[in-house]
Amino acid sequence: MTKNILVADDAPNVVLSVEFLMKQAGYDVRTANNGEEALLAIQEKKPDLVLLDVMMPVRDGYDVCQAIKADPDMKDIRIIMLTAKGRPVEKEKGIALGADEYITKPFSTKELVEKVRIVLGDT
Amino acid sequence: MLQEWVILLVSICYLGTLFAIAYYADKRADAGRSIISNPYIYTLSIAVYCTAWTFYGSVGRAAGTGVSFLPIYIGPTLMASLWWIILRKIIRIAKVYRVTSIADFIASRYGKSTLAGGLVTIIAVVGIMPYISLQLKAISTSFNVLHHYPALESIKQQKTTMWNDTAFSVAMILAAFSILFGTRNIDATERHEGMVAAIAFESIVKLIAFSAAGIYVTFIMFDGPDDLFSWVPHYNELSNLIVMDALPGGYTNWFTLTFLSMMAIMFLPRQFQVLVVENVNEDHVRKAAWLFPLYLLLINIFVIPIAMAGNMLFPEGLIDPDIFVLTLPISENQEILTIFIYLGGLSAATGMVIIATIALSTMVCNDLVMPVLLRMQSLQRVDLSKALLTIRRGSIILVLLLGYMYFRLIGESYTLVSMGLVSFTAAAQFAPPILIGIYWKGANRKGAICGLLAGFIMWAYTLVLPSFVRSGWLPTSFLENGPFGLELLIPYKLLGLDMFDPITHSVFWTMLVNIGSLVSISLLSRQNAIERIQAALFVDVFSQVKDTRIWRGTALVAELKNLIARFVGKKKADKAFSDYAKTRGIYLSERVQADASLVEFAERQLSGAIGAASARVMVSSVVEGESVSLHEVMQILDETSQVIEYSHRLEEKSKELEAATLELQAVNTRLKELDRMKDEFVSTVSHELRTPLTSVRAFSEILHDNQDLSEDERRKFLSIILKESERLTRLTNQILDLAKFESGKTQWVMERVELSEVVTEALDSVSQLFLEKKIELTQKVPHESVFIRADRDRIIQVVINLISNAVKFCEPENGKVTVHLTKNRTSIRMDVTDNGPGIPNSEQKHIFEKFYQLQDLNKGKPGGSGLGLAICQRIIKYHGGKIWVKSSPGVGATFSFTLPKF
Amino acid sequence: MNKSSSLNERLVFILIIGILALNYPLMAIIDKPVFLKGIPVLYLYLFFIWSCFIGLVAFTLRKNPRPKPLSKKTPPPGKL
Repeated sequence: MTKNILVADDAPNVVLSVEFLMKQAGYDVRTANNGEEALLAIQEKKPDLVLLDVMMPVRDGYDVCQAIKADPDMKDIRIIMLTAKGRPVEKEKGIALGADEYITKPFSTKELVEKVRIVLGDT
Repeated sequence: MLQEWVILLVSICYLGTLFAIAYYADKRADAGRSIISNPYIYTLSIAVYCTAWTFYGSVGRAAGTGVSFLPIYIGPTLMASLWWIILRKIIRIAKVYRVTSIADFIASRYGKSTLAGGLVTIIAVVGIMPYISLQLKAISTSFNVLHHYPALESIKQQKTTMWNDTAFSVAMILAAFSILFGTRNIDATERHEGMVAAIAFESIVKLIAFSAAGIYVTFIMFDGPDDLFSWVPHYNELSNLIVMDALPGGYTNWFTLTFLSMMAIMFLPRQFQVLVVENVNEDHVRKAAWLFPLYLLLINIFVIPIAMAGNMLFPEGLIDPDIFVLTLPISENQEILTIFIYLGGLSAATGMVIIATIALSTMVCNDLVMPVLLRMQSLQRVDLSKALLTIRRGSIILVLLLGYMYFRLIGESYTLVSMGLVSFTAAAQFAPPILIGIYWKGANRKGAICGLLAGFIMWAYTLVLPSFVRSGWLPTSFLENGPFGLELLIPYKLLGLDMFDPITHSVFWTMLVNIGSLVSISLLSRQNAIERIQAALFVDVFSQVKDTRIWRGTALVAELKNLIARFVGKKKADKAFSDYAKTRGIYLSERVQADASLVEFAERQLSGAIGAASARVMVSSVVEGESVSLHEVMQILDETSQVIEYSHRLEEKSKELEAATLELQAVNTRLKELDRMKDEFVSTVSHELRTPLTSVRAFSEILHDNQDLSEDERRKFLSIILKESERLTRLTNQILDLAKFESGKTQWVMERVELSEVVTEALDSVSQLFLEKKIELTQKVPHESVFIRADRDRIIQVVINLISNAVKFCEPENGKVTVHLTKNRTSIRMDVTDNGPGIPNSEQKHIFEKFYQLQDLNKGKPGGSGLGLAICQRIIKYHGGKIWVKSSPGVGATFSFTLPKF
Repeated sequence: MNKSSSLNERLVFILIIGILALNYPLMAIIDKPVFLKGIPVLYLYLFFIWSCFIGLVAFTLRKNPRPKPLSKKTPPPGKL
């Protein structure tokens, strides 16, 4: 069965590129432009993985992550956080909140796809 | 030549008259209409200085040594010139601090020392003995002369027992009179108006009497002074009397006697009594300072003529020159005159005795006996007021007896004057502690007592002891070879100093050890608190500010409470006292006298505030009824005040420290804030840079890794890469711009700029945007040129930014953008209006912040960086203008800025 | 208190003059067995100086009529 990935980022071009990559990797992709949209989309249809940008308007990535992990129905969703902030404390925060992985922008496409596969257990 | 009873009767009548005058004066004083309150009476009372010594003794001395009697009167004349300064100060001190005798004065000055007071009293009593005995001698001799003349041998040879010795009777009569005069009651001020009136009267009598004698001798027995003196060259032994050569001891002696009498006029106990204690009004000193010397001059004018006459008329050695004054008129059978002159002499003598004994008895009672009694009776508050009178009366009798004893034992072999000088020297011992004490605060009790003791001992040794030798009570070898053969200790030639006559010698040594001890020991030792208070009170008496003086008289509860309140505050004091009353179950009435335990309690309360020692001083001063100025006390509380000062400084320092700490904290917070802002800025910048980079890299990799992309996709991805690169570039430039603005490193090129051109140029750059979105543009630009001084590129940058923002936020197709340029006298203004969604109020104030971007949910992230407006703001601000926004949500927004013209 | 301190100075000055005039060496000048108008000069000198001294002190200490400080109309009467 094809796995379902949600990409949430407020930069449309980033979303575009990630969408292309995921599709190319063989996943179904939905997109969201902010945290609110992301949560709605998740509730609509539960993805297997969420690629979550941290710096988003309305509700940021950490919020969404926390919300997902707090919900018993959703806490098995895998989360990979994307951020432009490079400080280690951000990474730790993400992990602490329950993210499975963390990628800093700009990322290498290969790295992104690989991490997705690992997290989803598709290697 | 006169009957004994006649003389006695006359004498008694005269004394009775004196008494009557005194009585009358006292009555007037009680009624408040004092008769003695004028400078003339004051002056005449001072004239008690002229005693039998003046009356009889001067002539005796002149007869032997010419003008040598004069310094005794010149001295006071000279001293009187300083009375206005010194005497006034002493009077003021005495009045203000309730001093009642010379012993009291010295005791009070030196820390209320009863030891000093007692010592002064003893010195006074011992020192005045010779003087009193000389009066007794004079009276008895004059009596005898009147009685026995011309049987002169019997005058000389009278050896009597005490009981029929005239002098003894005289002494007893005088004692009785003094008791009557001076001890009828105890007056708080120790003033004796009656006595003063009596001696003023006596001064008149003696002046007139002596002058009468003088006139008689000069103008009746001779034909005037020139006639009298014309006889002098005929007598060899007289010719040297008219020059100083006749003086034993010469000019030195002259000087010494002058000095001595300068001291005596003020510090003989009786003189102190009339000058200071009995003074009614300070201002009287003004007249007395010259009137009294005038009196002295007048009474001495006829001394020399009388002496000369006596020498000429009486063969040498037959008659004691001391009594020339009497024998001259008697020899002419002038009975009335002689009696009158006798009365003059009696006046002179009794005046001295009465005043002296009263003054001495006051001192003995107050400064010698009472302190001892009080010490013994310290536990009981026995009423001693009755005992006081008895003690005084006893003292009077004692003093007169002592005077008589001296007379009997020693006085017979001395001339009147020499006896008097011994007393003068004793009185001079009081001069250093008083004169130095009222000008030098450093003179302290130890110094004063040592000085007095040293002077007294020296005086006794150099003057009194030798008189014992002369009268046969000690072997003459004492005088010739010194005690135990020690020649250096010969009383008349201490340490071999043999160039002076006995008096000068004694004056020299006593003054030396007295002043020397006083000064050196004062410098070497410390004063206690009360000494310092008293020293300050005395020395500064003229500059006393009538500030918070505490109490006169006994201490009432109210007074104690107020004292405490001054230091611990009224509330605390009230509470303390009421607590005290409660615990004892008593009611403390304010007007009641405080008892000992309350005083103690008060002292304890006070010591909590100002220390035990100071509390003791304060409380005891209140209770003892002295007045102490609060100012004074605070001044001398050295330790306390130093501590207070120190703790003040500490307080200040800690306040400063607190303030500094607060400041540091504020600065720290600010720094942290700035740091946080910096961090935020950095992270925002990095985020803003990384975002486009992400797309660039991702699509680059996609393009690179995927050969089989469609043409459309390829083109699309490439254009994204291009756009994002542009964006990146733009962003980087903006960030760098901003950084330059912040650090002030921007280089501005200021030149004359024409604004309509600027607008045109800006519009050209963004014309593409207008075309793309089909936005309508309206320009409202004045026809004439609008010049400003500015950096052209930067202004263009601002205009472009505003216009492109406007375009960005307009609806495509329907969008309208208006550029409106206006000017006034001082500035220009540009408005860029759009009809986009507008900006909510909440965001309007943030819109010029760095990285602030409008949250527009529908449109997602805006294309800008959020830095444009921030940069515009800085540019406009640099030029001295203002930039702002006005907007109604839903209608549109207008961004405006002003710039000053040239 | 300036008036009183100059007063004090004057008094001290008079005193010093007095001491000088009535002691060695000034006295020694007059100290001659000479008669003036029948009276020995020493006596004359001494009494004369004495009188002068008294006069000076009296003059220095004379009480000045106090000028009334509040009166502005007429100057105070009396000498000086």
